Amino acid sequence: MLQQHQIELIHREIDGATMPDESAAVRKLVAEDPEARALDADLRRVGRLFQQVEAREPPIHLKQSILDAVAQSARASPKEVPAWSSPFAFVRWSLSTLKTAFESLTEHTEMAIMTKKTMIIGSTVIATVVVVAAIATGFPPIGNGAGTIGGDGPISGVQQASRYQGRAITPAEVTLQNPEISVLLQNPEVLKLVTSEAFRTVMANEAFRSAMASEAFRTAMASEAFRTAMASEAFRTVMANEAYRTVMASEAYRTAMANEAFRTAQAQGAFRTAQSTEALRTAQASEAFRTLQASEAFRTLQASEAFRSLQASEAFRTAMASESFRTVMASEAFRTAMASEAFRTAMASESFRTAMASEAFRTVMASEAFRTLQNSEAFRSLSRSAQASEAFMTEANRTAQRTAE
Amino acid sequence: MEETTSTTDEQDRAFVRGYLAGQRDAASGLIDRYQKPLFNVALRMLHDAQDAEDVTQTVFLNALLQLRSYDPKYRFFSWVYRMTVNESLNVLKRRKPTVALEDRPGLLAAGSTPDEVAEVQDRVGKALLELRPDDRAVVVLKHFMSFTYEEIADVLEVPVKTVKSRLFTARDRLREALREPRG
Repeated sequence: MLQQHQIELIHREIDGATMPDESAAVRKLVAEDPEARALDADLRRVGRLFQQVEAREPPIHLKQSILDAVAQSARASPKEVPAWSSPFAFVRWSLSTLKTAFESLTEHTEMAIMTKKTMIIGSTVIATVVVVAAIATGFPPIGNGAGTIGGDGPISGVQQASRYQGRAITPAEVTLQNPEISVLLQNPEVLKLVTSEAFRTVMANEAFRSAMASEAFRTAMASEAFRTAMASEAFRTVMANEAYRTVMASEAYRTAMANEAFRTAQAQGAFRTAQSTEALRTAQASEAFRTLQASEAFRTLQASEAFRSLQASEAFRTAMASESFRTVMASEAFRTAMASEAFRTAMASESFRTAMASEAFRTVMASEAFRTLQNSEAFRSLSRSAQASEAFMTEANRTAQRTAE
Repeated sequence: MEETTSTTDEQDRAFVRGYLAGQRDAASGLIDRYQKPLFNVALRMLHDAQDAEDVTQTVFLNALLQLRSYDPKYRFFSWVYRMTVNESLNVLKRRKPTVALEDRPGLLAAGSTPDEVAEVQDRVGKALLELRPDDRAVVVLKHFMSFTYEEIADVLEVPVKTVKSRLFTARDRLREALREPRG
C-alpha cells in the first residue's frame, strides 16, 4: 500500500517538480512497487491524453468584439458623473433598449414575430419598457427634506443613498424656474396619479430605490443622447400606446421580469453583444445572436413558462409591431445611448429586476393617469432638463404627502 | 521561443501603461497576447465554446475598464487568469445541473478536428466536467497552461499546498474517468 507521501512524490515527478534525489527515489519506487508503477503509468497516460487536446483558436471576431465593447463603454462612461441624475434622464436612458430592439424590428418586419431573434429583441424591449414605466411613475428625489424618501413624511424610513445627496432644490426654485410643474400638478389626472397609494408605494419601494442608487444607473443617466431621445415626439407616442400599457400591466410581464434566467441572460457577454446596435446591423450581429441563442442562460430563459406566456400575449406582439415603437427607435440619440455598458449592467442587477417585478409598478402602469402624464406637453418640456425633472418629482412627492396628511 | 516570466510581466506592464496613456494599440496588444490562453482556460472549464467566448469577452472588457484601478504590484498575468477562472465558475453556477452534455454546443461540433483527436477532446472535456469546479481549475491551469504550482496558487489565491492537494485528488479521479474502455 503506497504511503501518502509516496503518492504525492509520484504526482510531483509527473509534474516535473521533484529534486534530483526525489526523482531517483520515484524511479526506484516505481521499479520495485507494482502499485507505484500502476499509478505512475496511469498518471502518464492521463497526461498524454491532455497533451492530445490542442489549444483552440478563439473565434476570429472575438478581438474586434472586445475592442468594440471597450470603445462603446468608454464613450458611454463620462469621467465625471453628476452628483444627481434625474428620473426622467433615466427614463431616456432606459429607452435605449427600445431603440435597439425596434431598429431591428424595422429591418425585419417581414419576419414572423416569434422568431428566435425577435424573442431576444422582445425580451430586451420588455425589460426596458418596464424601466421606463417604473421611473416615470416615481423616483426618490434629492435630499431629505419634506416630501422626499427618507424624510419625515408618510413615506419616511427609507434612507436616501448618500452618494445621491446633491444640492437641495428649494420650493422657490421649483416654482420660479419650472412653471411646467405647476401646470402638471394642476392637471386632475396627474394629481390623481401622484397622490395615489400606488405612487407612494413605488417611491418607497426598497428594490427600486436600490436600483436607482446603483453606480451603473447613475452612469447611464449621464448621457445627453438619452435626454434628446426622451424629449422626442416619438417617445410620447410610444408612451401613449395602448398595447404598450397593456403589456406593462400584464401579469405575464411581471412574472417574466422576476425570472432569474432573464437576468442571467442579460448579464451574459453574448447578450450584451447582441444588444448593440452595430451588432444588429452587421454580419457580426448574426454571430452575436447565434452565440446568445446557444448560451445556456438564453436556453433556460426561453424554456421558462413566464417568458413563453409573455411572448404569447397579444398585447406584447402588438406593442412590438406598432409603428410608434419603430418610430421612436429611429433617432441617432437612442442608438448612441444604447451603447452604454452601464445600461446593460443596470439591467442585469438584482435590485432592478425586483423593482420591475413589483405589484406597485404594475398598478401605476395600468392607470389612465400615467398615460395622461406621459402625454402632456408640460411633461415633455420638463424632461428636457434634469433639474426640472428632479424638481417635478420633489413637488409631486410633496403633493402626495400633503394629500396623505 | 518561450518568454520568461519577467519578460512577460514587463511587456504586460508596458501594455498597461500604454493603454492608460491612451495608446490605442495597447489594448490590441493585450488581447493578442491573452485571448487564446484565456479562451482555452474558459473552454476547458466550461466545455462549451460559446460560453468560453462569452467569458473571454467579459474578462477583457472588465479588465480593460478596470485598468485604472489595477494595482501594478500584482501581475497582470495572474489577474486576468483569475478573472477568467472566476467568471467561468460564475457561468457554471448559473448552469442548470440537469442540462445534458449532449445538449451543449460542445467542442466536437465546432471544428474540423480529425475524429480521433476529437474523440479524445470530448472524453477529456467530459471527464473534466465531472470534477469539482475548483479542482477542475487547477487541472486546467496545470495541464493546459503548464503553470507551476506557485503560479496556480497565485492565480487562484490559494496556498501551494492546496493547489497540490486539489491537483492530486483531481488526477486520481481522472485516472478512473479516463480509463481506456475494455474491449
